[in-house]
Amino acid sequence: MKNLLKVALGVVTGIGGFLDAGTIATCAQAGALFGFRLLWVVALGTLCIICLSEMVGRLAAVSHHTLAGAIRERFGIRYHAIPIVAEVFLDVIVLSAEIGGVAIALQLLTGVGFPWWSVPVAAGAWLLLWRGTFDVVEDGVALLGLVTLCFAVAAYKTHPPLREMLTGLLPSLPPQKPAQYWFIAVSMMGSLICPYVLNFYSSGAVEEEWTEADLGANRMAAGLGMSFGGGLSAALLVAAAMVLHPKGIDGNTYEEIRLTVSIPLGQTGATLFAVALGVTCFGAALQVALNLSYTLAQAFGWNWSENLEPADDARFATTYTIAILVAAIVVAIGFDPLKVTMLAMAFNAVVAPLLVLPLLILMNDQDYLGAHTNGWFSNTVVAFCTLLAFVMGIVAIPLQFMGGT
Amino acid sequence: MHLVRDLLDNQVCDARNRKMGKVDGIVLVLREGRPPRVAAIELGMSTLLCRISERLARFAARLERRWGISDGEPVRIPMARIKRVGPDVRAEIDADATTVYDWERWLDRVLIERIPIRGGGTGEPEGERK
Amino acid sequence: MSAREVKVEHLVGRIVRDASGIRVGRLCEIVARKDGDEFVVSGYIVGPVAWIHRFAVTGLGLRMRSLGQVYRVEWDQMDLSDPGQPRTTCARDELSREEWPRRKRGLTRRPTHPLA
Repeated sequence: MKNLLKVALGVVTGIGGFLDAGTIATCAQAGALFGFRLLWVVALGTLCIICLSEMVGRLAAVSHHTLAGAIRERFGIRYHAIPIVAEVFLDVIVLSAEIGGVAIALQLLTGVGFPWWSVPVAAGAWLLLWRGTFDVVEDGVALLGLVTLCFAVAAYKTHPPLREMLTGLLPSLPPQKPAQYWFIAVSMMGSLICPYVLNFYSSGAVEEEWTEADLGANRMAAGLGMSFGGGLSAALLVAAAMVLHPKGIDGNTYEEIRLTVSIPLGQTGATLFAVALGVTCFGAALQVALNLSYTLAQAFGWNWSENLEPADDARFATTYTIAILVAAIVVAIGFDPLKVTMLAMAFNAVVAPLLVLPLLILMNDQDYLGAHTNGWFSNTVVAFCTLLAFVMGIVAIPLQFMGGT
Repeated sequence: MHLVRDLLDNQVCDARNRKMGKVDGIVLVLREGRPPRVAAIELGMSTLLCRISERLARFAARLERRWGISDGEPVRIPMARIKRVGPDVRAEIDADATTVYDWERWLDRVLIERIPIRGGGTGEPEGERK
Repeated sequence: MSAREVKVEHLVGRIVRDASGIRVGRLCEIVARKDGDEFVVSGYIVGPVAWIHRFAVTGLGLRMRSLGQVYRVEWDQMDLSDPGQPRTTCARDELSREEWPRRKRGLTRRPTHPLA
């Protein structure tokens, strides 16, 4: 019964915690610009993140090491310094994008410009991390994220043609604007295979004291939760394809993206979209800020846990405090949150190989996994993900200049 | 025991199972006519940064001294005080008696204690390793 | 008896040459053993590329044959008078060779070594 509850909670948090500013922005733009043609990216990215999440959960449960801790220990600081620096830079940008997303959501609800909301949002995020425990941060906010089910309802209401949707699940070349097509595809992959998700997932598993007995629950939570989450991403893409694409609306602003829900569901939909955007971005902001603290603490061997009082892990608490402060400043200056989001997703693609390659090696190391090392299927999937992430990393930046919106 | 695989970069915990840091360095003492002795492990930012850049290490040490955080010297734990080597390195030592928490204490003093809102938490750290 | 300190992290990755100056490889690992109350170095592993073994895993078939061939240098065959340029005291051909990482049979988990 306890295991069943754990799985259920894992699935629910997987659904509610899947979407964030990156997936919302990229999936909506994909649907707006290219209809159903990029659905295959959602499917592929979801499959990748299911496998990767299951693996880092397994690593944490069996070896009691987080991903960052294991990388430092296994590969040494000379290698690990590179992903650490990259991840610090990336997490701050992603955190800015998420806080910006919440600020935009509040702008949509109240009409007050988003820069004014940066400080209250950042303060709220910081307060929750300062006062809360891991369960509250992860489970509480993810449960609120169930409001994103409105995307599925909106997609359903548009009565999308099933045949065209299924055709979109097959990779295809774009009829026009190839640079923009591949840039959006790369950004979508970057939003789905977020580096911060991998270490955060393993840190959470250690926070919750997973053991080998939890491997089954881990598999189900990763599989079902991420599948449903991927389904919501696909639903948003479908809704954008049905609402924005025929009208020639590019989805370059959150106001335009809101139409994907407000047109099928009316004013209620407009409100739901803003709430969904705000809640998912807030949850993601908490995760990214915590992940930055986790990454540095585990790499350098500090005391770490969201369950400790800040006075007992001062470096851990100071890290997320500074990160939130910097992100708030970026948003307060007035950088367009959507542009920051797209930039962040492209950088995700560049940083991902630095974490996925060591993961591939760790998952085959019996010193860490014992009897639970990867089989050929998992190795194939991770090797493919690694190669994909590597290619994405190389093409992302030139495409940013050629096709970026 | 393989020093790079089993010791270097591993997590060090004290006698109360509190995290002290990672093994940032290992000290060998060369002796004429006898095999080198593994004398101690080192923990500290200067030792760690020295592996990347000596200039960066000197800069970090200067910063620590200037801000009054610590004396910039690494913590050395003799091998005789190391009781177990494995996923974690267990040292028979009280971390509070060393300078590993100098940064924590400094941040407590200059930042954490000045925040009027009390931090929350259950007081229990993340799951311990077997 | 003179005693001088050397840091392991500064030794690893250094190019090791033999007594004639011929390159042996890069120092990958240092093997220690218990000798009474203290730990002493029993030997050094020198391979073609220092970092490759940190990225090698048996199960993935990353054991490229030439990269897996390493030299084992006993403690008394290594001259560390200049830690920046370690040299062996004998010719390269006199060093024993082995394959790395060793193939594992059966399941292993990294053991916990009690040192006391």
